[in-house]
Amino acid sequence: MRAMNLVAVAAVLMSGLSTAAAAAEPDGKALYARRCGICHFADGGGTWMLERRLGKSQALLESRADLQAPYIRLIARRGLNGMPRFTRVELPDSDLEIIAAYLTRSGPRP
Amino acid sequence: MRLILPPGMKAAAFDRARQALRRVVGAQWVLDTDEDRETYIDPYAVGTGAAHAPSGAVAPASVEELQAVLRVANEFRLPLWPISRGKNLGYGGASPRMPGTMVLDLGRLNRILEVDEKLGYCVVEPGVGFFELHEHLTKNRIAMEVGIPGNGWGSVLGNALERGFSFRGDHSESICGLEVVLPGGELMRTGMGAMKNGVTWATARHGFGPSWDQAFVQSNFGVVTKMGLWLHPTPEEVITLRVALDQPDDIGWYMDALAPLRLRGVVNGNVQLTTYMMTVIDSTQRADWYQGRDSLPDSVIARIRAERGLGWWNGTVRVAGYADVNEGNLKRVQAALSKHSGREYPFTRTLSAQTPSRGPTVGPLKVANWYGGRGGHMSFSPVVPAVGSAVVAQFQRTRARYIEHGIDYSSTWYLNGRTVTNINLLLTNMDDADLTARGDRLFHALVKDAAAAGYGEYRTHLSYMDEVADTFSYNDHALRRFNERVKDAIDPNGILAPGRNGIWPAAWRKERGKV
Repeated sequence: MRAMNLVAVAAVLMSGLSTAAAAAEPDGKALYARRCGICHFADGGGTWMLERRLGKSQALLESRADLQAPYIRLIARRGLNGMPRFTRVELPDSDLEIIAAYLTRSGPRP
Repeated sequence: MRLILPPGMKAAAFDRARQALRRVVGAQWVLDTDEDRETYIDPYAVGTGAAHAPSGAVAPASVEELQAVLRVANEFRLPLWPISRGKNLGYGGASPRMPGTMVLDLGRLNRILEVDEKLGYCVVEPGVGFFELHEHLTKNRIAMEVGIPGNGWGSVLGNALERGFSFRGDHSESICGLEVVLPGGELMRTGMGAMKNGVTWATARHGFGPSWDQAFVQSNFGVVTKMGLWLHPTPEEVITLRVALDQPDDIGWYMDALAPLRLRGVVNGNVQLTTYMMTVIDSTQRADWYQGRDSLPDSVIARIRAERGLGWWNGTVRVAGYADVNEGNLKRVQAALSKHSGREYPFTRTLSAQTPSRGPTVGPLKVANWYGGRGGHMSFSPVVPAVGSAVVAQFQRTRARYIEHGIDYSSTWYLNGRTVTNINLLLTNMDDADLTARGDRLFHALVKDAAAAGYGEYRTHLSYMDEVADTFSYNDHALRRFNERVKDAIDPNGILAPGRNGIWPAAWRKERGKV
């Protein structure tokens, strides 16, 4: 079962990569898939830990309505619990801004 | 994190060096804000990470920029710590050994330069990750595979330089041809690459005279900017046996049964055997099973095993290649195992034409969450002979130490033909000072025990590099003296990775042992 989950995660990630390659400009969804999806899609370790801490409704970042850009920037640069930090070489500020903007509008809005 | 200067370096000299580096790579690629420094701290450090805090990072975009960076470092005596992607998690991450060292981040050198399907090799730069190489192979339908470690987030080149491994064995053994910038800035290629037009650089292991590829593995003699790496042909069929062993000491007969088959190539991948831990981390944490401060009692381990249907040891044996050849090899494996256990083991068959190979994952990193809080992990990894009695003795000695220090035993054994590499996880919660201190004491005890038995570690965390290097003490540390004579000859200012794997240049030698 575990192996199947990992394959599923990889498949989702790869679909994200393909989307990124096809787009002329990097869009938030594709960047999020490439940079964050392996941990923060449905079967990822980040999603699992968020569910344990905050409950199922808060686990998938793309479905959250409460995320704000400064908080997303902070966690990416400082890490959280078992999540390692991202340097500006691995995740440039420009990419992080696009991802933060995407996550602040991807979930349901009031 | 506040600025920590290299030992003995004046602030004014450091500022001049930073200015010079900005002129080389552009201001935005000298990363030296407090937040930048924080991002290069080992996320799984023993303690706060301050013992290995960098003064910043510099990220060149080309070999030419890298050469210029090294010239600046020599001019100002600024120590640099090269990283590929900085994902050496469990061994120090992106952090340098000596505080104040500036990280030389090679993540912007990220091209896949060549993939040859017919001859089975690739040439990559440091910033190429396993995800990118796997994607390239898959997208271009190249029937070749790369050995992928448990943490697939890292660099292909960097992992091989650390002697990372997978079921395909030690990845450094697949290195064939390097391009290296020496500490003074000179560009060199090894093996056949040393010719002006060397065609067999990534296919012939040796050139003319000494072979130097391995001298740049786990060392601080140069900055590797390109690597030839042999790929593995995708097998027609993969047979995977799933094995569960009921008793702790069953590991002894198991290794004795499979080592001869591994040596003869009947089993053509490392045999892996692991405790319950790598299964239960998928969906649970320690608190779900046990609240005590001591090592998990046998009764709890028994409950975990019963609920998850696990053996004390769990593992896989991989038989891969042409289907008709596999058939004979499978019979030999089953016969060798059933001779001891009286049973045959379940297996699956996968045809590569129908099922693509599994790509990189970061799933095993979940293990950092075991104790909760700011989780982390390190590994204690001695190399033991592939002899059952030796394996059992090392296992019993190690587990007794874990119990003595009140840490949960978690261990994986990788059987090569002649040796078994034993990766013992030391899981921690950095918010729990007592647990972290016990883990540190446990590590010291394990190094000492293994050395007394004549077993060295294949790789270790920054904080224990001097201690492990010290166990390689034949003839009053003759090897260390040799390494440091080489170091001083090629890096007289000692600017490149001081202290890496216990090799200290004269300029910083007094820092040995300080953590």
